[in-house]
This record gives sequence, structure tokens and C-alpha cells, in this order.
Amino acid sequence: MTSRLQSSLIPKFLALSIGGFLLLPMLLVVVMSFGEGTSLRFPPRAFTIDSYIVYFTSAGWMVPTLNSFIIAGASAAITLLVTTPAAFAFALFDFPGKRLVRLLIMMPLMVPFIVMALAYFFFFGQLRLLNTMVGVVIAHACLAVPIVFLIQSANLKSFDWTLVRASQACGAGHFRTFRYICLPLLRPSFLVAGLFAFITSFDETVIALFISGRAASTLPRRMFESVRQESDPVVAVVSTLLFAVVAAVAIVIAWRREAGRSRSATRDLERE
Amino acid sequence: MTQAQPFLRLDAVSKRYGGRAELAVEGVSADIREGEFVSLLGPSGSGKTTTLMMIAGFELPSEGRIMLSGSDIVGIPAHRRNFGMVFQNYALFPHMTAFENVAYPLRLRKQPSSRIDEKVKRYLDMVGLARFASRRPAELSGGQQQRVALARALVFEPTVVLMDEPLGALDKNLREQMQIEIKELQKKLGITLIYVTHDQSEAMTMSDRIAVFNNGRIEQIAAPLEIYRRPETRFVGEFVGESNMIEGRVGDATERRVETEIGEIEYGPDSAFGAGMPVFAMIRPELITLAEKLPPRNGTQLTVTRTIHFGDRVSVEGTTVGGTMLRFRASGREAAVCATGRQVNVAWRSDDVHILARGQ
Amino acid sequence: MSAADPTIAPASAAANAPSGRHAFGRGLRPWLLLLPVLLFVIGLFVLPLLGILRLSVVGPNGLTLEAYADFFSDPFYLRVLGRTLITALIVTFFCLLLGYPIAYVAARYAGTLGTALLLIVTMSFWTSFLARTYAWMVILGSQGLVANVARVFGWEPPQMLFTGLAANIGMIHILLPFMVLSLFAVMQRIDPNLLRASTGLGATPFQTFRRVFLPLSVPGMINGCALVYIVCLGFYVTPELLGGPKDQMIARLIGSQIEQLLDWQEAATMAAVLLVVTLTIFAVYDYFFGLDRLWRS
Repeated sequence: MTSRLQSSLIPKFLALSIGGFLLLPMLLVVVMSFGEGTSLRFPPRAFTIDSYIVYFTSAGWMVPTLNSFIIAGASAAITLLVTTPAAFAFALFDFPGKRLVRLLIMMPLMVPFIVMALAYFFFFGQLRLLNTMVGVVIAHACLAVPIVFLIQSANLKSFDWTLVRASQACGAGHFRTFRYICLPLLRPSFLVAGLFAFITSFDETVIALFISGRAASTLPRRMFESVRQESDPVVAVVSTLLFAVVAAVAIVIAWRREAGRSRSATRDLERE
Repeated sequence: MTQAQPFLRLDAVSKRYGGRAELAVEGVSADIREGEFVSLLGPSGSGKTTTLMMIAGFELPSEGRIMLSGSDIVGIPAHRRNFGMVFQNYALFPHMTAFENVAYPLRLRKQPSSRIDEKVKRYLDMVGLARFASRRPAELSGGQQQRVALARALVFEPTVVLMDEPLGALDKNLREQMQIEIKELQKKLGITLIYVTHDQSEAMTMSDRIAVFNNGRIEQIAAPLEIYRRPETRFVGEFVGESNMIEGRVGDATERRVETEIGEIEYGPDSAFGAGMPVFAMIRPELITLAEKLPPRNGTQLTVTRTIHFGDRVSVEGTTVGGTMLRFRASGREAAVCATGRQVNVAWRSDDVHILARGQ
Repeated sequence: MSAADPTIAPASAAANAPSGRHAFGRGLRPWLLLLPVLLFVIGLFVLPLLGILRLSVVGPNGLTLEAYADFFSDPFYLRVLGRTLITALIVTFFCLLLGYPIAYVAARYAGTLGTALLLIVTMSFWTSFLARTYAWMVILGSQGLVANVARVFGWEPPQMLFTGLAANIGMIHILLPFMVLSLFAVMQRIDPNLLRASTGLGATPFQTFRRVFLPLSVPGMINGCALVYIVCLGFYVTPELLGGPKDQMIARLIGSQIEQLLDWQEAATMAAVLLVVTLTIFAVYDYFFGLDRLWRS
């Protein structure tokens, strides 16, 4: 018994310390965001919320934030619209060249961002789309294609296609089957795919750095510049806000999963 | 059943899937009367489900016609055929309550909501689920889900109801209970029902007629007892119930005798075969009994090789001197006589011997 | 079109429908559904990529491989390339070393500890890597956490920020969640009964780990390493912000070419080399394991 306890103690201790290594820097940023003065001093000399006020009131930060939301929203919408039919094609049909098409769709996941940054820098330069939002939206929409494709494919794989037949047997044609059965059932997973595309764009730094320019600067680009050039404590604010959103979402999901588990357990009891 | 004209007719229907050489369904023909309960019985891959899917309109036949009251329905898409369908995994819409599931076909038919309300309630009541109307499928047990699926397939009074192994996912007791309920509903409502199953006892207990499928063809279509007593092929005889198939050749046709390795076997009056034809003599195990003495014909001596106890009865396997294996039933009391290694005499009645053709 | 069309088919073709796919599938229908994505990816991804590859082989007098010859004969570029490959290797190694215990504990001990670890890993996975890079600047800077702690003990630390070490630590921190999630995806599916069986047969906990768990987790290790290595090869932001000027990796070289607009052909050549190296790894992975497995994690 003792040996078993010991044997599980070592990995547990290791895992916890490494978990601390992962978590600590993020917590540090939270502390920094309330710090005063130059951003790279830790611990900060004093604590204020000045940096938060600066972030929310300066156009230099608000405009890139807004840009990022617009670009991420637009590119997610485009990716979803372009990629979803393809996921249906893969789920429903066998066709010659399926493997090749799949490889093509996955391409954006295989090419290093820096290579694409150079490629788009040149390409959009020729099309006069450099330093425009349109350019960034297009680039980000391309990057999200494989991600949305993978998520949608997984969704469609787990979709119960006999429901479609059942609906037809009830007398619904193609349109009404899609409207009343497929769409309501697939809507949540469409949203998830869209969310992933949104985050992909919102988080993307390298390509945005080189092609968005000052005119269409995204939030990551603004952060990058601010980290590299000045010692701007607002970076810590933005980082904290981003971290807070992620943490909130992660905790809500974990909590709901727990709740869902106990709910389905009571349901099982009721059935009997 | 009322004697009606052929209602649903399959006329030499075949199905070939793209790129494959063999036919999934090959020249299936059948006439199904109005109000009849027909089971499509066969092992998996025998074409029974594909046939059902072609009737439903989910698959296009490669050849042949499917006629409903005299007109071809092959070109009519599934949703306009007005056929009810019950699927093996229930296929209830998970985002709708039991009530909404059953109401769905009526709403699609744009019936007034008061009427929908009344009908859905009546059908849910009929399947014993009135209390569960507001539950979602995930909150119902398997049996309850299948009842909702049943109500949904019946509520719009379809021309034909198709069921694809509807009870396959239920446990044994519930399955037997549902068999009775489905059969009673079908009789009460006068439904024409085509029922796919691989379970021969299910087909036997529920059907007016059984179509036995094998390798994409119907081997025999007949009433359950007919199928059991007088199978036309070896496959049917062995798939439906247990059987002893003894190879032989017709000896004296007028005396109705077959010459086999275990001697001459007399057969019943219903079979007509010419002398010298290769045949099987089929005897069901439950029609073979232990005998005190070896009878001159219609009997043999066996060395018992194995006994399996079922509690109320015993299944005994034995071999003749020539090596033919026979299986028969003994009562629990006779079990002692049939211990492994013992020699026993068995006998049967000539009327219980059925002769069927044997391919060369 | 795209919205209503798919439902026409499932009747016939669904992947999990009992009777398989329908003959319609060989017609035009799938291609209609694929048209948008094909146009999009080819026109707006492949075309720009080819554009830059073309740039690397076109000189003033037509096609030439001169740029490549220059690249591979210049010891500076070769050193950068070699450093890139080795750095990625080091980062991958440490990610595996650090990632394995977390994934192991998260997979073996569900419950509070496992859930908490997974929560931390997912959170850092999703947190902007700029934020995390910034955090390391705070930790390693001359006025940062480590330096100030060291000073408390009366020791003046050497420069840590803007060195190769800082860049490596930053990359390890950022890529660690990739590794953990890859490992966890595989470890989670290891049947605990196998481990119980092993213990039941008389193995000590360590033997069970060594002989049963470890071999079964190898696919996760391969996936995680491939993923981390590939991302690391092309990593730009973190080395640029944390690293020093002396130990550049190829991505930074490309980046500075773009920023300073020095030489298109040179930049394109470096990009092509990086692309080929990356795709080669993908190809090797595909040959041995099949790419589909990589995407699943």
C-alpha cells in the first residue's frame, strides 16, 4: 500500500510543479497589469488601475481591439460559409481525388505562418490589399479553413443520418428536413466551429504583423509593437483581459460538464 | 385477413451498388396483401434491409418495379410515399419531445393544431406513453423510445408501415412484450406491415407470411408454419428452426422412400419427387423420439456424443454407425438414458419426414 | 445551394447509413459542394504561396537556382538553418520531458487533481501567446522576478532576457500545452484494465508503467513531438521578442527581410527552404503513420 502511494506521489508532485510552471507566468501578468511604471519591473513599485483606464480610453488600443473583432468575425463567417459545404461533401460522398482535396484543404495548417506572411506580403502588395482589413480577413479566413473543416467533419461524423431518413419517412422533403432536423441539431456545432475560426483569427500575430499595417492594425500586432518598442504596462492589461476571458470560459465549461453529468445521472434514476 | 387484390407488389427487383460485381438484391418478387403482416427474414447481408429501403424509397432499385395498387412508385421520393417507418435505433429527433416527435408528420401535413393535439394524444395513449409526452428522447428508456417511434410511424395513417429490426436493441423480455403489442396494434388498425428481422422466432410469432432471404434472393415466401414444416430449400430448413438434413436419393417414388446412409426413410404424402433424384430428408429434432426397439424403418441406432440440458428438455446429439449426425429432443426424465457414449434407438413418423431437393 | 443541398443526399448516402454510399456520389454533386473551398484555398492560399516560390527561382535572366546555390554555400545561412533545426529539437525534447508527467497524472488520476491540471493546460493553450511571451519578459528581465529574487540573496544575475535561453524557455512554455494535449488524447484511451491486469500478474507499479503504459503512450509522444517540432521550426514571435540578436532562427531572418525589404529573392529562398523542411517532416509522418492521425489530436 505504501509503495503504491509513493509511486503515485512522485508523478503527482512532478505534474503539479510543471502545472505551476505553466500557470505562474499567466498569474504574474495579472499582477503586472495593476502595477505602476515601467512594465518590466517585478514586483511593481505600486498598484493602480491606471493602465486599465489607459487601455479603455486610448484610441491607440481601442481601434486595434475593434479591428480584431471585426476581422475575426468576418473571417470566421467566411470560413464557415466556404468550408461547411465541403465538410458535407466529405461526409456524404465518395469521389475520386478525395485524399488530394483533403490534403489541399489541410494545407494552411502545414505551411509555417512566417512563410505565409511573406507570401501574403508579396501577393497583397500586388493586389494593393496590403495594410487593409480585407487582406487580413482573407488571410485569416484561409488559415481557419482546415480547423473549421476538421471540426465540422467530426460533427457530421457523429451526426445520426438515419434522422434524415426518419424525417423523410414522416413526409418532409429535403428542404424541410434540413430546416427542421439538420439545422437545429447542427447549429451548436456550427457555432463551435465558428468560434474556433474566430479565435484563430483573433490570436493570429505573425501574418497580421506584416500585412495589417497601421491602418488595419490588429490587437496582437499592437501588443507585439508595444512589447518590442516601449515598456508599456497596457500590454499586461490586455493580456490579463484575454486570460480572464479564457479562464472564465474554461471554468464555465468544466462546471457545466460536471453539472451535466449529475443531471444525466438523476435522469437515469427517474427512468427506472 | 381479408382476401384483397395484390396491394404492394415487388416485381423482379434487383439492386446493385456502384462498383460492385455481385447484386445486393437479385430478382425479388412478392405480392403483399392489404392488412398483411409480412416479415423479411434472413441473416445479415442477405438483402432484406436493402429490399425494405427500396420499398421505403431510400434506395433506387437497379432493376424491376415496385407497384402500389397497380402503379409504379419507384420514381416517387420517400417523403411522398406516405409510408411509415420504424428504425432499429429508433431515430427519434433528439431536439423534440415525445409529443413533438409524434406531431411532426402531422405538422408536415399541415393538419389543424387541434386535430394534431387530439391525434398525438390518442396515439401516445395507444402505445402507453401518455404520461411521457413532454419528455425528450434522452429522458426515455429504450422501450419507451421505440414506442414513440411506433406512434410516430402510425399517427399519420400511412399506406404501409415498414419496420427495420425495430426491436433489435431491446433486451429479451421487453422484446417479447413489444412483439405482442406490435402484432395487436397491427391487427387492430388493419395495417399493412413489412417487418425486417434476423430473428426467426420473432418472424414466426408475428407474421402472416415470412419471406426468407438468402444471398439477395427470396428462398421461400409462405405462412410461418408452412415455412417450418415444408421448407423448400436446405437454407430455409436450417435457418428457421433446427433440423436434421439427411442426404439421400429417392428410391421407390410410389412407395415414397428415400435411400440414405442410415437406411430407407419413408416420407409424407406431400412431396412429389421422381426416382433417383438427389434429395434431403429433413426431420425436425423434436419429432424424433426415443424407441425401445429399433424399428425396421424410420428409425436408427445412435451413439450419443453430446447432451445439452435446457431444464425442461434435453437436446441430444448422436452419430449412426455410418457417421451421420442426428439431433433430437428428449424429456428431462429421459436424460439419464441419453448419457454420452450410450447407445440409443430413435424413431420418427414417416409423415414428419419432409423431402427437399438437393443440388448436385 | 450549399445550405439545402446536402440533405438531398443523406437519404442515399450517409456514412453511417446501413447500406453504404449512393451512386449519386460519383456525379457532380460533391464537386458543387467542394467548389467554394477549392476556389478559396487555391486562389487565396496556394496562389500566393506559389507566387513566393516562383520569386525564389526567377532571376533577371529567367529561371535560375542561383539563390539556392547562394543560400547553401553561405555558412551564415547554413548556421541559421542548423540552429533552427537544433533549437526545435531541444524545445521538443523539453516539452516531452515536462509534458509527460502532466498528461500522465491527468489521464491516470481523474478527479480534482486531474481536472485542475487539464484546466491549467487548456487555459494556457488558449491564452494569447503574446501574453505569455510578455510574462517571460517580466520574469527574465533585468528588473524582473528572477533577477530581483537573486538580488535578495546578494547575487547579481547575468543577462537572461534577449538570449537564446530566454527564447527557448518561452517556446517551451508556449508549446508545452500542445504536447500535453497530444499525449493526453492517447493516454486517455489506454484501458485502465490493462494496468490492473499487469499489476495482477505481479508487476510493480514502475514495471507496469515501463512495460505497459509507456509503450501504449508512444503514439501520443510521436504526435506531440511532430506537432511541437513543426510549430517550433517556423516560430517567429517569441524568439523575436525574447531572443538575442546573435542566435537567430530562420523565421526571424525571413521576418527581418520583410521588414527591411532587403531582397525579395533571398527572403523567398529562405521561405522555400523552411517550407520544404516542414513539408518533409509532414511527409515522413504521413508515410509512417498517416496524416489523419495527426489532425485528430
